[in-house]
Amino acid sequence: MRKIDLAYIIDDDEIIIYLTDKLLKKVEFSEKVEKFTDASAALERLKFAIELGENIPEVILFDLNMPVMNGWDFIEEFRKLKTNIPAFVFTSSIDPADKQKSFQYPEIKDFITKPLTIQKLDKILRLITE
Amino acid sequence: MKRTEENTILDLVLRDDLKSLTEQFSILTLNSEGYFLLVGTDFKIIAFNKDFHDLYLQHFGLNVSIGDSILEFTPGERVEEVKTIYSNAFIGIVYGCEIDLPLAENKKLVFKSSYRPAYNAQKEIIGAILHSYDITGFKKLETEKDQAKRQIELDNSNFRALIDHSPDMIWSFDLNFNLINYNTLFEQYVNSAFNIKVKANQNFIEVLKDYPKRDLFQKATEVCFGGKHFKYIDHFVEGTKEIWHEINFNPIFSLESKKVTGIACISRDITEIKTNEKRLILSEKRQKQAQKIAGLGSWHFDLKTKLSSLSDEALHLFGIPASEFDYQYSSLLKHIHIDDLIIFQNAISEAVLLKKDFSLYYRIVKDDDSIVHVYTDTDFEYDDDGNAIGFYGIILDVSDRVLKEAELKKLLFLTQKHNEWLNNFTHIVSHNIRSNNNNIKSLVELLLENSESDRQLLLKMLKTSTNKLDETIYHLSEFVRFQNQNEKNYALLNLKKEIAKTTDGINQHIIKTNSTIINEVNEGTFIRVVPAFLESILMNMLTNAIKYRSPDRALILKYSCEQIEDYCVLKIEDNGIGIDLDKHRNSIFGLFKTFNGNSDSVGLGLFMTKNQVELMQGKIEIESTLGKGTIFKIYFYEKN
Repeated sequence: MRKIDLAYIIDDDEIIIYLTDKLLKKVEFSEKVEKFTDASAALERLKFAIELGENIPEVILFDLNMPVMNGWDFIEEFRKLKTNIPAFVFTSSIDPADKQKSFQYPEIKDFITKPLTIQKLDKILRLITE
Repeated sequence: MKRTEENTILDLVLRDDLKSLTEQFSILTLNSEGYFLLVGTDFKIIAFNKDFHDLYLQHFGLNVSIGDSILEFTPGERVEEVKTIYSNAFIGIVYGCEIDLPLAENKKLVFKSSYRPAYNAQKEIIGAILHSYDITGFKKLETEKDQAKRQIELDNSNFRALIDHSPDMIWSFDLNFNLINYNTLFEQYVNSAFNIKVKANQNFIEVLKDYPKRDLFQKATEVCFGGKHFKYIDHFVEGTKEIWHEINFNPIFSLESKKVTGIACISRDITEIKTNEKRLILSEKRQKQAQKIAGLGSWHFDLKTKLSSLSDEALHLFGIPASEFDYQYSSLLKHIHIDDLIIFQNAISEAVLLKKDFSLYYRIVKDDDSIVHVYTDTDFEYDDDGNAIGFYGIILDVSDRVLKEAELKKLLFLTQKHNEWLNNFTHIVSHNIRSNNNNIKSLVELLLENSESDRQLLLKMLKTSTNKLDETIYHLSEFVRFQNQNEKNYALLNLKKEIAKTTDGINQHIIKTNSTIINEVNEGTFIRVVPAFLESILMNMLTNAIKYRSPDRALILKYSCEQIEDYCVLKIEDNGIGIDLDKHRNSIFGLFKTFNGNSDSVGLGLFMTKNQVELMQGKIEIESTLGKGTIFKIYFYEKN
């Protein structure tokens, strides 16, 4: 699998973070993974990186159902940054309404349901490199 | 041959003691009135009295003299007639007749004349004596009498025609109750009702022999003979049909003496009027009943007099006794709900100003403070020239409808809430189960393949996941339990006891965490709730308080209760870690909200609590200070 430099994972469930991180490392998805249980923290981190000219992620996976700032709040803020970073919804929701809503954002490349698998990661990678 | 009083003249003529004929004639004419003429058998005039002379002089200008021939001044066409009459007298025949004497200008004189023989002393006929009376005046009178009689006959037949064609029975009788006049209808009626064939002059008492209302009739005649009009209503049954007659008694006055000479009666069939009247009374009665049953009143406002009139039911709706209403519009205003007064007055004044129909919902407050919801619909009333003269309308009691609508709204609201809740709940549950299941699966896989180093961490994560799954399943089972809860399941529960039951249930846990429970709810506080909901709410509140207790101090949880308007408000106060409401106020009761990164939480508790409270018409409020504690206020609606 082609290795990308940096990926962000945003999920309030620490177990998900742990499991995802494990899988990404196992398949050598990216060089580095930054993990956030709070979407606002991820947003701050990204702004900071852009300002300082640091490494910015080549892909962002974010959950929808999160306290404080949920996935929808996050994508609204994220698109304001106009980064071209491909974002992926990463959720346990199988609600078609959520899926439909996510496709209204050009920033969201796909709607990935949990659990994450090697096949799904392949697809993500394909979409990024297209 | 007529024998008249002139025979006495004849007798006079025959007296022996008078010598000459002319002498006898003079004596005859002296004592008698009229025109006398003595004519010889040669038609020459022998003698005449002064009146005869003057008659011819006056009317024809003829100076009649003795020796003139009567044929000379007889009109040609009558000469033969005169000759015959006189010739008869000359042979001893006495003759009487009426003769005309034509005058100028179509006038004529009429005479009653007698012709008789004139005898000399030897009883020989020497001529004839004519004796005439002027009966012109008498004749004229007779003619007039004839005409009058004809007129009366005509009038009488007109009168007959009139009374015979009248739809009323008409008859009259004199002071002795003898019938004077009657029409065919009367005749037919008496015949059919009393089996009597009436005729003029018949005594009316006989007809009345079988009349049931004789007493009333007697009274009527007494009053009427006294010169006054009288009437009464006769009511009887003919077969299956009820009949009403109005009988009028009018005195007949004589023209000369102005005294009552009889009575004229007119009996009118008023069955139709009576039936309509009865029908009208019945329909009014029914309308009143219908208005009462329907809770429908009617009212009318006269633009000219500014007076309002209201039907009994309308007054009833306003709570005004019919006897106390003064027809003033302002008296109604006192009874209109203060919040509706302006729209009511605006509607009326706009209607008066613009002559516009209107309809309106408003509330009436009765003296006993009960409220009636009413609907008014009005139409304008115009006179023949198209000018608005008033408006009339209905007042309909729509209280039932309004209450039912409110009930329906409430039900709809509850159903919507319930559906929303169901939706969200299924969403959460499926999400929770799926995500925890996934996690567990992945963790187990990792445990099976991984090295020892991560084993402890993986097992800890596995425990968290199974706990979450367990809690979700707990809520799911609770949910299944609530499925059958509805309004029928309300019960009156003692709040203090219910709280104690909850705390007793997890007493071990309370002791273990060193928590203190203070139950300050009054022992007499009862609330109407769905018992399963209350149990769930109290349990959630309690476990939340323990879950989010401060790591720095033991939990002190205080329950108290106060009355706010229609609610019994349960206050649950803790000294836990608190929540930053600036950040979480809008999301605290929403889906999947867990705070403070507490991994034990699945975010269903407060969501369930809020929905249960709302399903019971209540509400929940939160006050919190980060690091100090939280106060939940649960409002239980009392009127369930």
